This record gives sequence, C-alpha cells and structure tokens, in this order.
Amino acid sequence: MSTDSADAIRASLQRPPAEPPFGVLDAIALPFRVLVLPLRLVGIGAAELIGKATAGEPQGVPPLVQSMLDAGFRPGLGSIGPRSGVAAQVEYVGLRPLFLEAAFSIRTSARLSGGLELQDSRARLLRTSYTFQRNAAPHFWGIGPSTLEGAVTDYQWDQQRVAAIGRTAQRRIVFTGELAWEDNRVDRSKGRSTNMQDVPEFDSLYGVNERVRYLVADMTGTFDFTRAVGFQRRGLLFTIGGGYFVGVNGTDSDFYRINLILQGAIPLNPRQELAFQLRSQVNRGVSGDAVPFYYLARVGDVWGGRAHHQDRFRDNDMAALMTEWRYEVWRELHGRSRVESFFLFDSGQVQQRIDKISWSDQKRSFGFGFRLITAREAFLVTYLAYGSDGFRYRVRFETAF
Amino acid sequence: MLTMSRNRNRRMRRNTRFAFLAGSVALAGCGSSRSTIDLPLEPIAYIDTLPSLQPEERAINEVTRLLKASIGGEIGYGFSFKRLLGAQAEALNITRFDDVVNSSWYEHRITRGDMTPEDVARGPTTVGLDTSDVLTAVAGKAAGISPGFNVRDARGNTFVVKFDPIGSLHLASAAGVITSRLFHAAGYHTPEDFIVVFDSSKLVLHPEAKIPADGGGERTMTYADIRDVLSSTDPLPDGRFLALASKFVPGRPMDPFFFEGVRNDDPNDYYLHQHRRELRGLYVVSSWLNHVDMRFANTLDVFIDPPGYVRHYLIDFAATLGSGTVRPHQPREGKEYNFAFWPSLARMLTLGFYNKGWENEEYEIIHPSIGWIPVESFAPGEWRANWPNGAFRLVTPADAYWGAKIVGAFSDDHIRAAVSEGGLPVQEARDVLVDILKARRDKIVAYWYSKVTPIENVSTRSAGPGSSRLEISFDDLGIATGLYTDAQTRYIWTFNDVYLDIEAEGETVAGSSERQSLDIPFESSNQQLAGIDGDRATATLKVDVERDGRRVKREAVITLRWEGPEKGYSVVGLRH
Repeated sequence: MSTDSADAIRASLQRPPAEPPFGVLDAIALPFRVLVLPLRLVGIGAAELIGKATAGEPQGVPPLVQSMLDAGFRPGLGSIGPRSGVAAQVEYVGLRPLFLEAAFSIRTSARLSGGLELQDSRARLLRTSYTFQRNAAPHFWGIGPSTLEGAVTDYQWDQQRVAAIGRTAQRRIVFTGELAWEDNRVDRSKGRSTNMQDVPEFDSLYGVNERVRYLVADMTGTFDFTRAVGFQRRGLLFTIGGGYFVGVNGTDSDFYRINLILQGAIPLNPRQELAFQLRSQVNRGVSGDAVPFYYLARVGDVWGGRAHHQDRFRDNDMAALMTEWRYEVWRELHGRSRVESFFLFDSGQVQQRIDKISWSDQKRSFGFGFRLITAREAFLVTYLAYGSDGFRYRVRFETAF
Repeated sequence: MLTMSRNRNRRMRRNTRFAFLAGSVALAGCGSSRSTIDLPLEPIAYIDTLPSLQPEERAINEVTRLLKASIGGEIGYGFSFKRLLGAQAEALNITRFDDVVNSSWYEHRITRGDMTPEDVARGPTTVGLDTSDVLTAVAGKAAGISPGFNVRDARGNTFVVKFDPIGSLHLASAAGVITSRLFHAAGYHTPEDFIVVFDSSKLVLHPEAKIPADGGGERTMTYADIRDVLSSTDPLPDGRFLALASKFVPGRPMDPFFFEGVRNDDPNDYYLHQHRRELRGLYVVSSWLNHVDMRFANTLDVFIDPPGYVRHYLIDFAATLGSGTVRPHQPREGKEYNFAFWPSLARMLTLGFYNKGWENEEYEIIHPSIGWIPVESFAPGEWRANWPNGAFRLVTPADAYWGAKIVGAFSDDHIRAAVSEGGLPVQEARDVLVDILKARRDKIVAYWYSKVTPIENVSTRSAGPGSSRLEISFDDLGIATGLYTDAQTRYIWTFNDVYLDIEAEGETVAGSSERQSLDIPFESSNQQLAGIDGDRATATLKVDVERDGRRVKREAVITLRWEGPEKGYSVVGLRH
C-alpha cells in the first residue's frame, strides 16, 4: 500500500475525536486559566532559561585555555578582597611545590603571589610566600556604631607580605601558626566618592597616607566537634585565635587581636536545624598609634549583619550573633545536593571596648534566603535581609557560616 | 450519546424493590420516530500501522521539557478547574467496552487470558547475545548513567551492554530484565533484554568505534575505555562479567515519544498522547513495578519500514523495582517528583514542617541484588514517577481500573516466571521479590477496584417474548477477586430504555453465585417493537456498587440495544 492510499484511508475514517471537545467546564475554567497564566509563564520561562543554559553538548575547552592547562597554568575567576568585583586569576603549578599566582579584578584590585607550599595527605601544611595585594576600592563609613550609610568613601590599600605558615591537624583539632612581615600603605581611592559628611576626617585616621610595617605572630586553634549527618553538620565548632602586631621600620604601633568564634547547629531532624554563630573580636593597642583603621573589628554582611554592607561598622571590638533556621525544601534525586530555605536573624555591634556592647543597641538583620548545598557545603546562597539600612539582596558562592 | 432528556425520579428505595415508572409512554407503534442512543465511535485496530513517510527526528532539550512539566505544568495542574472538580476528561481512544484496540502502542497480551508463565518469561526475546564467540565493541554508550557499551556478536546482532554498580551486582540488570518481561506481557512494546555472562577476553574493539568525548562530540574508543567500564562493576567470582544486554530493536530508531501532544509529522499519530488510555493506564503498571523513571527519555519511537510506520517502545528499565540504576531506590522515589513544586512550596511556607510521610520512612536494603522497594507504605493512588507526566496527571478511575485489570491479570506463576529471568543470585532474593510484586499487585487491585463499579462480562437474558422480567448478569471483580463478599455488596441501579419507554430503578443485594444478576422489571406494551441496528442503542443501565454501606459513586454504564421481541437485548457497551 502506498502512503497516498494510506492517507486516503485515514481521511475516510470515522474515529473518536483526537482531543476532548471544548465543554462547559472548559468555558467556566477559561478565566481561571487566564489568571494563572502569568504564573505558569514564569515557570515555563524559568524552564526555558535553565534548559537553554544547559543545552547541547559541551563544546570542550577552548584551545587557548587548553594550551595554558598543558603548560601548567590554571586559569579561573574569583574575588581578591573587599569590593574587588570579579577577578581573573591564573596560577602556575608547573614547578610544584613552588607556586606563582596572579589576579586582577574589574575594579583594578590585584594580587601577585609566589612561594613554596608543602602539604601532606593529613592536611599538614608548610607555606612560605611573598604577596603583593592591592585592594583598590573598599568602602569606609567611619568609626563607631553610629555611622551613616550615605557617608562613605573609598580607599586604596596596598600590602606587601612575606609570611611563613605552618599547620598541623589532628582528627578534631587544627592549629595554625603564622609569622609574617608586612608593609601596608593606604591612600584615598582615586576617582571615587569622598562624601565624608559626618564621618571623621579621613586623613586623620591612623594608617592613611603612610606606610605601616609590622611583624606579625598569629596562632589559631580550631576545635571541631561536628559530624556530618546527611546534609547537616551537627555539633559545635570552636575557634580561638590571637595575633600580635609589632611595628617595625619606623612604625610606632603595637597591638594585639583576639578572635573567638563558636558555631553550631541544633537539628530538629535531618531536614530542619537551627544554626548559629557567635563571633567576637577584640583589638587592643599596646603602644604608639595603636590600630590602623583597616585592622579594626567590623560588622556587616557575613560579619554579623547581613542587612548591611560588608565592613559597614568598624571599631576596636565587635560581637555578633548570626542565626539561621534552615530547612530542606528540595533534594536532588541522587542525594548529592539539596535546596534549603532559611530565615536569618543577625545581631551585632562594634564599640571601642567590648564591654560597651549591649543587646539593646545592636544592628539587627532579618531575612529569608535559599542555600544550594552539595556534600554539606553551601554552593550557592541567596538571601534578602532587612535592617536599619533597609533591604539588601545578595547572591554568594559560600555560606555565611 | 443520549439524544433525549427526561426528568427522572432519582428516589431510591431500600432492599430489592422495583419501580415501574414510565412504561406507558404513548409512542407505541411509532418505532421510526422513537428515540435511540447514538453509540460512540470506536478506534480501529492497527490503523496506526498504515504506511507513512518517516517523521523527522526532533531536537529535544530534556532539561527544558522536564522543568516545564515540573514548574509550569505543575502550576497549571495545581489550579486546574477540572482537577479540582474531579471532572477530568476520560481517555479518547477507548472502545465501547472501555478497552483499547491493538495498535503501534499496545497489544493485548496478559489480558487475553491465554498467556502462560513461560510466555511471560520469554517476553519479546528471540535470539540472545552470543557470548561463545568474539564480541566486538562498536561504540560507547551514548545515554544513561549506567556504564556500558554497544557490542556486536558473531551473529551480527547488536546489543547495548550495561553493568551493575560496584557492590550491587544484579541490582539494575535483574530489575531491567524482570520489568522488561512484565511490561511486555502487560502489552507494551519493549526491547529484547537478556542477562548475559561473558569473558572479557572475548571483547575486541572495532577500529571505528566511537565514544562520547568529555568535552563534547565523539572520539575514538580505546581498550582503556572498555577497561574503565569493566572496572566500574564487580566481576563474578570466576572473573567473568555479568551484564544486561538489550538488543537493538528492529527498525530505524528515531527519538522518544512524549506523554503529551502528538508527533505532528506522523499521520498515524492521531490521539493526543495524554488522552490515550494505554498511556494513562501505564501509570498503574509503572506504579506496580516502581518504574519511577517513566519519562519520555525512556521511550523510543522506531520507524518500521516496511511497511513504514512508527512503533512506540518503552526502553531502559534499570530504575525499576528496588533499583535506582546505580544505587538502591530511596524513600522519596515513588512518593514525590524530583522537583516537586507544590510540596517544596509547602515546605518553604511552613518552615520545613510540611511532611509527606516518606521523610521519616525506614530505609533498609532488602537485598543487595534487589535494593529497596516499599510494600507497606506503597499507596497505589499516590504513587509518583520521578518527573511529572502529562498522561499520568490525567488518569481517571476508569483509566486506573483498566491498568489495574492488567496488573491483576498476572498470576503468582506469571510473576515468578518473570522474576526467574532476572538472574538473581539466591533463591531467597527471588522469593522476596516475588512476594513484593504479589503484595503490590494485590494492593493495586484492591485500591483501584474500589474506585469504580468493577463489573465485567455483562450478559442479558429475558424469560422470553412478552416476559415481564429482564435479567442482567455480570462478574463483579470486587467479589470475584475476593476483595469483598456478597454480603458486603449491594448494587444501586437505574434502567432507562428511551426506545421502549421504560424506566426503572432499584437496589439489589449481591448473590452468592459466581455471577451477579439484576432482575429488572420489564413490562411494556412496546416490547413488540422491532429491534434496531446500526451504531445505535436503546437503553442504559447504570450500576453503582455499595460496599459495606458506602457507595463508590462511580457508576458502570451498560449500554443495551433492543434487538426485537425474539432476541431481546444485546449488550453493546460498558463504561466504568
């Protein structure tokens, strides 16, 4: 039988309808469907976008990148420091254990580093390095807990650092020690806002327009009493660290710093938990001009105030509590990742002395967000938070804690 | 379709009482002007195997389709007016007796009643992989997550060879073969799947064999690729390898079929897929076999030339029963979609306190070769595939009952025969799996048979010309399968003959005999009217069953045609 004959037969057939006739219920439902249509279109649009983003076979590594990889270069994207913007970075590993790396950001921040790194399978590390880093545009709102959001200026901070880091790790305890020499220089950022208004005179701050050189001795201990249960990390993690900064090469400033972090999670079940982090930092001048403004303790964003900008508040000391009620809303089929929603509440403050920090005078943040988690690590975090500076929406590639 | 309307008294009376309501309609002798019922058009067997040109292959974005169904589709479904009213449209390609005809989609097999356990075990298979001679690896495996490659045996047949994950030998291979046999016996088109054991020394590499490249495209396949695949599974104690070999289906493979819409350039593809009974009923068969991966990507349209038509296959059953292909199934599977829009929203709005039940379910591997498949918590009406499916969404009780009849047609011996083909390593595992499938089958039958009035094989008998009684007898599958006793069962019925002008209604307690019967008063002077012919009927008998005092509220509608005073009625239709 030819296809034409088959077509003729099909055309002559009497069969049930190929689709349901439009009935009374369809007519009644029509306005309802029109109302729901925008919501559906959003869903369909999202599906189209994700589908297009993942469509087709990967085209492979571009020849230039492949030849870089073959030559021992490891290109990537990242961030260099506060407000660096996206940075292109490349590391050369062809001479391991020697390493060299360079990074440049769209806001002209930069980092150049090189040295020797020895690491064993037990996470013990010995690393010596020289680093030059330029933070081209961090914000500064002044010192103290009462600065105004609009009174902001930018500065440029260049730092050279020669450091030796040693790390030893046991099952639950990690000690890290560092000896470093550093040379810091801060200038007003070129071409940026200098709207100082009520903030203290920028030039009068210690550390501005002068070279400040330190010898630094730092020791940190991390006591990890957490365990992984499914996607949760339960238990407590405690970190205590201290650093001593001794002014050298004509710098008349000695100070020390103490850091405390206590974080943990109280699970309700494998899908819901209350996670928290208590964080405090104390900086104390020992002699001379005391603490450069860029080494002051800070509150803002993931430092205890997610409704605020990063480094929004600075002073000698800080204390903050960050909490998240995290709960699973979706889990990937193979159990490799899941999406959690979380409600966040942060409360933190800076003061000249920590004993002046009171619960009633805190910078508080309330918010809601999502975390995409893989293997108990947050891969993508997004949240909307509200505080005294208004609303703030963030997308991050790491969790606050 | 009823061509006349009439106000009827729907008052029901207790016990077996009859009402003779309207036998005196004064239209006797005017047969030509009397009302009749137009019978619905019927589908035609194998009409979709008429010759056609080969349809074009389509560019399919799997991610987009799955997400559209999961987000946009679920939003639309959630607000569906018809769904909220419980007024989903019935399937379209059904016969007057609520069945489908054989087609390029489906062929009656187990429901014919003559399939032996050996037939089930044999399935679609003809000649298996010849492992006695050289096996030539001709390509890497292009799709799916289980490791494997394509081989050609000495007979020239080509197979996809897929391996079990390390630590779970038999898991996916046994599930694949067993389920393939059962889907085939259920009536669907499936490939020939075999359990094979071979010596890796028999493997040679075809010089032009290609494999998908990591960065996209293809590259030349090497022996290292074969070693990689073999190292991703456990060898048998004697060093040989066990695998599932799926034979390339005859014809030209094209691309998957979808569970919604039609293939526009296939003139044989007539009914919207979501309104096909065999695809809606597939929901029930899939739920039985826990085929949570029943999505378009696990289907295949194949162009059969000659004569030139598209046959629709179900393929790749590795993620069925207790197997998640590369791991055992988990409690969520079968209970909730991969991306479950509404439950996720509910969790988000309730601080995570919304709970569907699977979240706290015990999860213990039944046997390494079986994986995990629930029995106690298996709820036939709430089972979900991993992705929303356009046909499954529209399943009505009639569709599900149709599917449940297929599942219920599998005897214990049929199931045992299929399980025996899976190559499970120990008898204990085979016995456990048989018991699981029996238990899930029984749950399905019990659940879906309770959602309709499950009467079948209707026949009529009148005491002769001029008789005042009409006996309608039938099988009540609820009683026949032992789900209910006759003492628990009562039938509430209404009879309406628009041709003879007879209306009656009543209630009848089920009898103790094998077949149930309704005794309908049938007294009318119009009984002398001549019978009618053609695609018309004259009467409907609506029967609603009551079990333990609760009505199903889903009538079976029997359509009858008056054949004349001598022959009485014939049964010309039955819908559930």
